[in-house]
Amino acid sequence: MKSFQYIFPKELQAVPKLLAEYGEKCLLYAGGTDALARMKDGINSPELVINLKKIKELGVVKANRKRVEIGAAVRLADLPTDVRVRKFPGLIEAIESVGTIQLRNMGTIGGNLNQRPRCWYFKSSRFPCLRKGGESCFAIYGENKYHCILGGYPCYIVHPSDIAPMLIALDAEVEILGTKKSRWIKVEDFYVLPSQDPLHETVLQRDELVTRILVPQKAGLLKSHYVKFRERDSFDFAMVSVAVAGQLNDAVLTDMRIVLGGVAPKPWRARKAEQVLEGQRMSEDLLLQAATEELAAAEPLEQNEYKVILARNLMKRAIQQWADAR
Amino acid sequence: MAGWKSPEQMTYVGKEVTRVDGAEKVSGRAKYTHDVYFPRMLYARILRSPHPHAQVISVDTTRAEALTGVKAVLGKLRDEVNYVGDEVAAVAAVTEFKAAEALSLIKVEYKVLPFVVRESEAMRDSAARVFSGREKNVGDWEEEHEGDVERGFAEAEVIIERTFHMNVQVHTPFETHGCVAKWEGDELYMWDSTQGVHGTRSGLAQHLQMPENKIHIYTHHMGGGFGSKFGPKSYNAVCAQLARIANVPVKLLLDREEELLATGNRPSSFQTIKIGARKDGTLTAFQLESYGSGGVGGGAGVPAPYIYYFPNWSVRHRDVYINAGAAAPMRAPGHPQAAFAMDSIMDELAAALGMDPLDLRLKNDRNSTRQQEYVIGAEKIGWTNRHKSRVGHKVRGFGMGAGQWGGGGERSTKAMVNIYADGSVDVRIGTQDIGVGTRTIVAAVAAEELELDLADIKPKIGESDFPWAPASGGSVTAPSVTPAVKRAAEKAKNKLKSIVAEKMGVAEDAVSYAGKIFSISGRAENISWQEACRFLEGSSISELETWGEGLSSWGTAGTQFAEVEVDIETGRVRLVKMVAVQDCGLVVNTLTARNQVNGAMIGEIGYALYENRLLDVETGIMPNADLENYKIPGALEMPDFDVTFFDQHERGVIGLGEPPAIPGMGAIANAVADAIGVRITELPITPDKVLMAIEKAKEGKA
Ligand code: SF4
Repeated sequence: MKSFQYIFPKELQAVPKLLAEYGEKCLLYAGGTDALARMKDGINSPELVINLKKIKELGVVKANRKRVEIGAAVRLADLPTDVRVRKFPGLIEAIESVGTIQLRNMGTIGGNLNQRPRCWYFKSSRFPCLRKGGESCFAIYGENKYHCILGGYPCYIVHPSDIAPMLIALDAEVEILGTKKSRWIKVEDFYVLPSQDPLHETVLQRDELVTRILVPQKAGLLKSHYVKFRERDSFDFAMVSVAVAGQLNDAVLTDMRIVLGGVAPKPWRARKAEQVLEGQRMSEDLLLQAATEELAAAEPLEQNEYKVILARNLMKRAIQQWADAR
Repeated sequence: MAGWKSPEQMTYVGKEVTRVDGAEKVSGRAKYTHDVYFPRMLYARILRSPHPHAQVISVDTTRAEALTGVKAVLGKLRDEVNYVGDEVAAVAAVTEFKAAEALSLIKVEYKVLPFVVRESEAMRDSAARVFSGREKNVGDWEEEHEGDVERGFAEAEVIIERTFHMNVQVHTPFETHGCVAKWEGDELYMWDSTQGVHGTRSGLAQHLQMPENKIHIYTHHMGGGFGSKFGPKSYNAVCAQLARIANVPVKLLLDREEELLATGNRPSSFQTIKIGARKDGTLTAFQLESYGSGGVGGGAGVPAPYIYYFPNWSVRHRDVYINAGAAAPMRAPGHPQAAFAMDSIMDELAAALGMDPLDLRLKNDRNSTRQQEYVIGAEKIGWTNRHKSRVGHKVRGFGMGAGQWGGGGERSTKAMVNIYADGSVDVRIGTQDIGVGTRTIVAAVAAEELELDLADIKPKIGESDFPWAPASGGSVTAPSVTPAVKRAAEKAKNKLKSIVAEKMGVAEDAVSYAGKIFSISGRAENISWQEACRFLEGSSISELETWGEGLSSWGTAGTQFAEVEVDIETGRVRLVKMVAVQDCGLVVNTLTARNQVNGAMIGEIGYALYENRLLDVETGIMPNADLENYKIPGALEMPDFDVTFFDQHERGVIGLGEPPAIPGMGAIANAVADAIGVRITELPITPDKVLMAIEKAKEGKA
């Protein structure tokens, strides 16, 4: 790790200015569970580290008639007990599935949405891969068991967030602040595929940061459920995960939103599956048909064909569990 | 000298004794090598090769030496590097970060050479050479046979052939390798996380060309080794040399990546086995062709045919070299690999014969201890009622496996017992506690022999200046240490008896000792331990004694059973229960012994289901060189453990380190096959493999 300057701004407005000035040479730091590891591993060698924890508005949860607004630096561990957030059971499930208790005690929701990929070629400074500005992707012909099956070219990461898929299922937005203005965009539109930008996972501009997560109150009327499958329960990222939100009346499915984690470089909105399900009566065959149609476009790599089967089975299971829940 | 009493007659031996250093450990007071600190101490780092194979043309350390805070530099440790992580140079600086920065300033000119990291590729004549100048990447065939294999297969009514593949497992002790070196004049004091203080001393003496009596190694507490820490290793010498150059203490701790790349591993193993039997289950022939790789090291062979009796067999093995870190002994070297393949194919055979796998083993295992252990284990796991229950997509399965090990004592082990005038006692023995509770059994055996309280004994271990004891490996520690301690304690006790006799003016055989009291035959007065010790008048008793026959033995038998639940929609295997039935003679401490078996089973679960050292074929780099991606099981992966010791206390003490680390992989793999109806022949049994196997089986049926 190289020496760096470490600051704790109190004013939110100061941050975009610093970002604009330092660009890639600075690093936002809140929980540190991802950023610190990247610094230690030599993936990021910032000159300036901006700790966001002293900025009050980033650390609060608010609610009004329209939405629940979660500050980006709110700790994950503080959310499941918050009555305003508890209205979205699927979101609680997603938050509680993140990492370990220790990581949730430190990690923040904004950090979770902005975490960098876990691709081992990305995480090791030994590989100058495409996403780090290098020439080529090491995963495509390398060890790619954990890589993506959808949306992959020319980088094959999976987006590691558990919370983002659920937020997309709930039609949530993020508030983004830059030097000139702040803007709101759907979480769904926050992430980009490598074909659009192989260097970044989000649409954030150089001077921008996520300040709040905005969950519409009406999402509280939906049933929601998050299922995460991991290879090792004690601590693992999702191999595949499924966020489900929608309505079930007399076994008929409406307003269905299904988002997959662990299968694509961004949280994967399963629109084909949603279309198959919409307005239909629940049945195992229907669920399998929806999953199969969604995954028809999958292009597995040499070592991850299993993910197609896993994603299919897990989609079915997630929706069944979702339907069975009270 | 006297043998062991029976466990019922003993107070500390054969009983549950909590660790004498437990409170020290859990409160953080116990000083591990990583905790050792001296004022002005420097921190060292090793520069390691980024290339799997290269010639080191030159190492320019000028800029590193010029960096403020850098106090010592060692350039060009090798002319050729043969794996990513091989040592190139080293520095010592005032902080760890300074040292790391200095490494980045060392300019190394490499001539990058072709490399190979896949065993199958390395065996080809056309393959890149792992070592420059060597003709091939394979060792010689090692062949052995007995009987007439061809006749054996001709007699067989059922013949099965399968190929099994075992991944590379890395030791991953929680405390990484590391040491602190401190010179005082021409004497070297070193705190090291080692499994052998004496071996480290003598090895270092050779390496540094100095006399053994000027080297002092300390391992008061250590956080595991599993076979990877038989010192000295090159980091020890590097650290000693840096400390000599800088003339202040130097600490050199490896980080987790270095630990995974360069400190040893269990070799891979590829075994093609053919096995023949008659319809009644009688085994007639066994044939094995195997290869495996310990990276740039050897030792990938397996003991075969393992355990079961074959009148006719032949085995052929050769080691393959690849550009990866060298193997090191790891808990029962070779045995887990042999057992996994053997127990897997035994179950395949049982299925082909329509026989219960338990019956097949009872029929073909000639070890009478295991015969009885199988019955106990089967009872504990509920073998006879093991109908597969299916709850939705979850299927249960049951499997078993078996193992054997030696684990005898080292004859030259010595211990010293000191009795002081105030009645206190210490025991000195140059063993080390790798984490299994050795310090506790040293105290327990002395307390037992001297009939004192455990708290009266101060066990002193982990120093090379104490009497010789072997390295902690091969399950030799308990059978080496306990006889030496018992005999030294007995000798010291007899010495005290003779002093009492002299003081009281009676013959020695007129004095007897029991329950802290010396009594004199024919006299009413008693002399307490304390009073007797006062006769020493400021002096002390110091008795050295060597290991002796009759207190320990050699050879263990064990079996394990596993119950698993497989989620056929996700491929996830969950251990429900593991049963171990194990013989190890006289169990010295039933509490820590059970810990040891549990720990071994945890390692087996890792080996069977999670751990896998990967090597990127294009670059030769290990992509999962961290504990996020080199997956070891955690608390949530633990099943219900059920450990039974098969009581053979009359045999004396036998080691327990390796035996329970052997049978589990076969048991788990068999349980998975039982659950899903398809056999996974490659470890670790991860969800991807299970899902693909189930899918393939479905396609086959359709
Ligand atoms: S998948 Fe992406 S991050 Fe991983 S090696 Fe390829 S380009 Fe780099």
